[in-house]
Amino acid sequence: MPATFFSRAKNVFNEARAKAGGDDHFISVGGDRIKLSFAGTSLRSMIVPALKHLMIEPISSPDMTVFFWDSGSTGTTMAKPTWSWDAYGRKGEIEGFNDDRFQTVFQHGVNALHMLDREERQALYWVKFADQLPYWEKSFPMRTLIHWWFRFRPLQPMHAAAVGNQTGGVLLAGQSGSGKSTTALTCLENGMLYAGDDYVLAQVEPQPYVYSLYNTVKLEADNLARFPHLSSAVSNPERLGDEKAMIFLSEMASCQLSRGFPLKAIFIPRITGRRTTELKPASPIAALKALAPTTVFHLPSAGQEAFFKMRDLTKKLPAYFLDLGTELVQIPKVISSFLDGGAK
Amino acid sequence: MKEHFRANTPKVVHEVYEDEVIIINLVSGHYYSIDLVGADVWNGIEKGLDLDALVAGIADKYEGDKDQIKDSIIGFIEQLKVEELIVPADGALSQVTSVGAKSQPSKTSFEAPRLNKYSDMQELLLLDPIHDVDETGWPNRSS
Repeated sequence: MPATFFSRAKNVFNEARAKAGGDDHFISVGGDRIKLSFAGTSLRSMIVPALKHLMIEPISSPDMTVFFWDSGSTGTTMAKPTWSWDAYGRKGEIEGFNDDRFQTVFQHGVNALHMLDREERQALYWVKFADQLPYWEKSFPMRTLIHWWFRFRPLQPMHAAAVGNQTGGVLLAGQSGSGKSTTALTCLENGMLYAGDDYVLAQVEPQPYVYSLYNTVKLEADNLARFPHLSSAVSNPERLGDEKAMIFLSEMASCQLSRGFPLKAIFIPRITGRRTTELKPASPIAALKALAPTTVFHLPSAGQEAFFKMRDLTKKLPAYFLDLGTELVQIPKVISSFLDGGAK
Repeated sequence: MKEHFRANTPKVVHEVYEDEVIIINLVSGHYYSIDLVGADVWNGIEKGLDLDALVAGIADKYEGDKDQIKDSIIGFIEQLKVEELIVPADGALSQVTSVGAKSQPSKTSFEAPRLNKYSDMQELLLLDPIHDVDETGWPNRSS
């Protein structure tokens, strides 16, 4: 049944591509090479910017191909679902369409169908109308598909930021509002490497490592004042009342955008209101608490497997609370000092 | 009471580090932490101990009135059941009697176990369910 639906839906993509044209892009994610195949242009402009720093030259044998299209701009009609309306789970997972080979979700809020056929190494990303895609999906496109794709390997998209230098880096774990973005941006401003401020792909085995997924920055509008040089690069200035400011760093900070680095620790940012920034030892369970709930509840079908990968990572890396001071310039100094083997 | 319990997996995932435990209820959207005595009780549950064995193990490790210890553990287990973090276990009772991973050189004072509950993630699971489809059979965009 999933195979039949997948085949029908892919035929609709082929029809959309024939009608509206399209193009292909190639990215490297976690060491895998992924082909992004677009029908029409509407969805491309919403998916590609966040992934631009991962682009590679075209190849003939990608590890996975993802087919993107929307019905509105391509003038096509999506294949009818072969499940009933009550088959949708709490996160939109479609009952009977999720097993070791297939994974399928109609994602709440995004109103997009994501479907992976692991055996065929192909995936579908379909929306009715591209212009209905919420801004936050543009900041981390394909997050669900990437999560599924690495399901059986020791890699996991995690709700965390990552910054580093030539010696390695740290994962910044915590819920929204904990100071991840502010920390990551302050480090970027001070010349450090940046792999992401919201979702990154962490590798547990053989060695802890982080791969960048998105070059996006999302900031609350009132936090933007701290980073005035970013103001001119905000991609959604007219909607800041309703949306976070979104900035794509691929053009303005390309030399500091890293595709990945070895991980040396997990830092848990905490806003203190004090002037100075300090590191304090944290337990592995504090790191797991900062990483796991938010990640497993964000991602469809994330359960034991994802949790165990995060658990294993927290067992391999030391954890510290990063007590953030108001004097922002101290933050990168403290992180750099740690990475260079200084005071812990 | 010879009833014993187990973690409600796979609905629940959990991890124990020394005297701390994190538990996530993947269905309800709540997550929890427990430490010290609570972590020992959780460890004991995981080892398949029944109430009597749990009480004996805790009383062996902590200084306190045995009746008070028993009442506290009964209340704590009730909380774990209400939150659907544990369910009755099948199979034989464990022969293990120790609850903690480490024996203490001297007993510390008993404090009633506490289940810390966090509900800040629950909103991610409380989005409007899909209940309306259009003429093509696909969900309508919710307002």
